Amino acid sequence: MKKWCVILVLLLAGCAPEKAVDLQKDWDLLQPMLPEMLLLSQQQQQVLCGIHPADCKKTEVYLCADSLRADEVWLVEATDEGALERLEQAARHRLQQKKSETVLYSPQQYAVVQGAKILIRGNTLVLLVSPEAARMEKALLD
Amino acid sequence: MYVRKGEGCSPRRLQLLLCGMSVMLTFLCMAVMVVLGLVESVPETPTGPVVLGSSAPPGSFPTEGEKDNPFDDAAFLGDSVTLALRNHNLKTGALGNAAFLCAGSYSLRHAVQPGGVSVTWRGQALAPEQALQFSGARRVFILLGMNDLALGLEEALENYAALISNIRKLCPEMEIYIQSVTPIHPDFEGQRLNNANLDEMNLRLKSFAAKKGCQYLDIATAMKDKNGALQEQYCSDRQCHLTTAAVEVWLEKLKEVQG
Repeated sequence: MKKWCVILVLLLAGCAPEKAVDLQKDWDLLQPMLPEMLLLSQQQQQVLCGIHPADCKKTEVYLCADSLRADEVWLVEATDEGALERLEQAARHRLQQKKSETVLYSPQQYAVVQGAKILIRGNTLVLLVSPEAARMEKALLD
Repeated sequence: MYVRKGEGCSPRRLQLLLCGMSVMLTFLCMAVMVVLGLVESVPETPTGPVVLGSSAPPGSFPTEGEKDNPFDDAAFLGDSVTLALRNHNLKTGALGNAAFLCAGSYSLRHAVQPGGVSVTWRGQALAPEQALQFSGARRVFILLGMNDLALGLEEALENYAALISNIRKLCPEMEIYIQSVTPIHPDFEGQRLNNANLDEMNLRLKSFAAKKGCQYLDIATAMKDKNGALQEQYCSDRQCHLTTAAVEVWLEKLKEVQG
């Protein structure tokens, strides 16, 4: 009884361990708003996106199957705050790269990259590059 | 809950504030309970710090396939045409762990002059020879030139020569394959960028490759229709980009030199 009281108090005080991050659940929310996407392996994430595996606990990173589209989604849980900062920097570099690739030959894709969103929740970083980025952001914020 | 980066109260500050308030509330409740006799004391446990969100199962990352592929030692350097090959490889693994150093609108000029579009390796924008060195590739398949044709064939070949020279300086053992530029859809032909000029470029590239001690790989001929343009079935956008069927043709050509 006493033990239960202590647990109850701790729960009410908001000191329970943080709920495990469920990236798959977030991805399930986003997927219907996206075209066919390709899941990147750890090695591919590092080579193509600059996501260092040592900075990540869990990742779900997708590129658009259609190479002419800029769509890209990162859902990455960082190991700590420092790793989160490095991941955010990697996301910004990636966006810069996409901008320089599209600025001259694809104004439509350039606009998509311009509208990209970076969201943070605890140690989780989300990068949304999609014509539906605003709707995807709303789905995650809700 | 997610927050938009760079707006409103810092999430880190908010988290710290809430945590501080929670700790204070907990101590208050505990004190009340001790006074009321609900608990005598809280047993001490030798637990370490709680790592929030540490419930990730071990091995969350997918493991890489260990099967050998003849292209595991290869790198592909190119523009948006090569991006289609890269994505096909992401989907099928046909070229194994080959490195893809490619970017939309990348050109020979970009490859030899810093600034503008660049290829990246592990998130870093690099000169192609540096990216090749870091990738550990022993063979490079280059498909560049289409984005240079508007500037003229001579300048494109000068830049090609500079690129080969830069690669040789940094990676002297690198085996270099020059791939023919691919044909384009008739609707996309212009005054300078057209199939006749692309054919001319390929003729020059073939002799250039021989002169520079590189291999030449003709991937264009198999994609052409009877008029020398890109076949409808191989064009994804009525411009210059390739369908999966065209990429399959390309892969067949690569098999001829798979090593």
